[in-house]
Amino acid sequence: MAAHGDDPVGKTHYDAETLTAYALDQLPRQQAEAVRAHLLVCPACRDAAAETARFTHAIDRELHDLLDRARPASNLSFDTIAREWRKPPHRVSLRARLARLTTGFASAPLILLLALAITILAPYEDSLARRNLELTDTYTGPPALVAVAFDEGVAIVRLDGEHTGVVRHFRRLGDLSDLSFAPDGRWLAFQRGSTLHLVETSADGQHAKLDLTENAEWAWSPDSAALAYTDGHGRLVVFDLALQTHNVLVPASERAWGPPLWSLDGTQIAYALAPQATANAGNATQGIWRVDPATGYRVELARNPAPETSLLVPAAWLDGNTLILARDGRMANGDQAAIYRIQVNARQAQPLEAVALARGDQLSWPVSPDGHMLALRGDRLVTLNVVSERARAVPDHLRAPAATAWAPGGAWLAAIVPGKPGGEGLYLYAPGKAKVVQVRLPAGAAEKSVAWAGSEHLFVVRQPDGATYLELWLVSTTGAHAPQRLLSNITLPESGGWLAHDTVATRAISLTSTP
Amino acid sequence: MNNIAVIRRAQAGDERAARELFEYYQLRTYRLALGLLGNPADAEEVAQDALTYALLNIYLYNPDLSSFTTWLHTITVSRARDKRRRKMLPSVSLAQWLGVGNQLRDHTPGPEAAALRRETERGLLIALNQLSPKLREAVVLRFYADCTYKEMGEIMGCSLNTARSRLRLAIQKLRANLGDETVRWPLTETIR
Repeated sequence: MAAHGDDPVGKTHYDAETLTAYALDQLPRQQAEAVRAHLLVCPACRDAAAETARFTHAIDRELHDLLDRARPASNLSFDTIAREWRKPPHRVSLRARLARLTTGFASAPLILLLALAITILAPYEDSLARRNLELTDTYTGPPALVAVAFDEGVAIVRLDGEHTGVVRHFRRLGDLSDLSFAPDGRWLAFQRGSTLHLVETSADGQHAKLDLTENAEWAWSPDSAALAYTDGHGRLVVFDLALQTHNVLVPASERAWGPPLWSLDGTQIAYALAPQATANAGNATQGIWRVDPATGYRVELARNPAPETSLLVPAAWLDGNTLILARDGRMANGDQAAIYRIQVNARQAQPLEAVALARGDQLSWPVSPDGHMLALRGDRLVTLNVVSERARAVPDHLRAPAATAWAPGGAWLAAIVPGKPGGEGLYLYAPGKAKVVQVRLPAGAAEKSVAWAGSEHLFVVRQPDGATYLELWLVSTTGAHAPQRLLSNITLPESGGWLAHDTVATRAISLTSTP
Repeated sequence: MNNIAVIRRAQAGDERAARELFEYYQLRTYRLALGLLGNPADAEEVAQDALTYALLNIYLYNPDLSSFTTWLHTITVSRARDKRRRKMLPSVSLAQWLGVGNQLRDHTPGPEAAALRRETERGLLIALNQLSPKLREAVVLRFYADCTYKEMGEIMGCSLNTARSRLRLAIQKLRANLGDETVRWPLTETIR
């Protein structure tokens, strides 16, 4: 740490260069963590970093505004290059010359040497096999897009019969997190440090970057036209993808915080307020608000009954009713959280007689389209209808699933049960029929996460025994065809824990919406 | 476009691959040059020059050392520096030397010149013009070309720390040169 200009506090602040590097996501991870920790307790540095981030963001946008429209008065010409190109001697790289050599007479000894090297190296090093995704060329499932962390970057793969192939590949990006497709599959978002990347999933599509903070949280609008985010400085902003403009819905002074949550029709966004805002005001309240993205009109929905010990965050919308997750702020991931149902129009919160599991500020087990969720009553796992509050006990062998996904209609729940031998961890459960089906996959790889591809197929992420990479499998729930390995060599999430969205995102697409 | 495959084909002498690379990179090279120089005619010349050099010498490019974009940016920055140096020398056009054409001079700006003037009147461009060439390179490489500090160092031919210092200094100067009014702050555009 160094002196901060003329600041009287002297050596207790970071210098402008470090804060600039931090704002631009250019510090090594460890140093960035140290700065981030410091910013939490140092308003002067926090303000300086925020100001730098705002300024650099503005420069970035303005420069792109200026240059992205610029075109040369006359087209640059390839003709001169072509003329030179045809003149002997042809400019050919050493690599290409070697390639030509190996096709000729002298190839035999080189091929022998290469074969020998592979034989020696292959048993000890899997890097040769990991150079590509080993993408299947016989995909039989429904059309879908898949994004996977791969080769220090991200690859977007289109799965669509004979059109299956890699659409885009961004290399050398470093550690990524939060891969997420827009609902129509036209855009993919992922985060690298504090930068949110938005890339079109068509081959030559756009690539936009939003400089946020590491505390930023975001969510796609249901119509895929916008992305709402809380920027870590208290603002709630909607980014319009077509216009590439930011629309601040909630100013920093109100301290919007955590993941924004769009209503199903996209006409409302629920968001939480950070507790500091109200604590500073001397009135210990924290709660949930909603805002109309079209008008900016906002209204308080619920106030946290115990703001000193817990946080209220929005968890899911259900036809005008919001289900609210309350989480004790001191608890770590995987802890229990009280749940409330809110009547949005009446602005009444009602506690439900069950608790959910939380992972960070999200529910560990998502809510189904028809309002069912996994919850705990006492020490019993139940499926809870959050409208009628009817609960049904879940069979014992589904206890504490590591990952779950509801089928599009909500009739089936796919669940990964941890601790099972490889190939035996995937279950299907129909709460309405109290029916459980185990779906067997080939042994030799443990099931890690699951997502639906339409209503009859599942994508299952698996980790082969002893491997340091992941695979993506397609499973037919009707048994129409055998489980199929789609691709391999997906980067493991760096977090060590299991955060599937840090490394894989999937999205079933209709052919008409295919980019 | 699968860049690596196309580059390999070009390195193997495939003219069509070279043309593909040209088509793909021409606009972004021109825009980078425009950001570095601020003058469309100069930028056009530098972009053409950089692309010509890069493609005719593509056999020198080693994908293990840097990305193709970084390599091309390095060439573009170098050509832009050359251009700037040449412009600093006193030069007189042939027409001026011969004393002809004065009677034909038209003082009314054409549509292109008017558009250019509107562009140059914008705050950021003015502020960029006030930066030294090296600081300007740092700003354009970071904020337009999205280079990391490491890539900036490679392209500008300096250490990572120097790149970092240049950028900090550039931001400081831009901040001093730009008022709040000049930069369109994205987060205060449409507060409701």
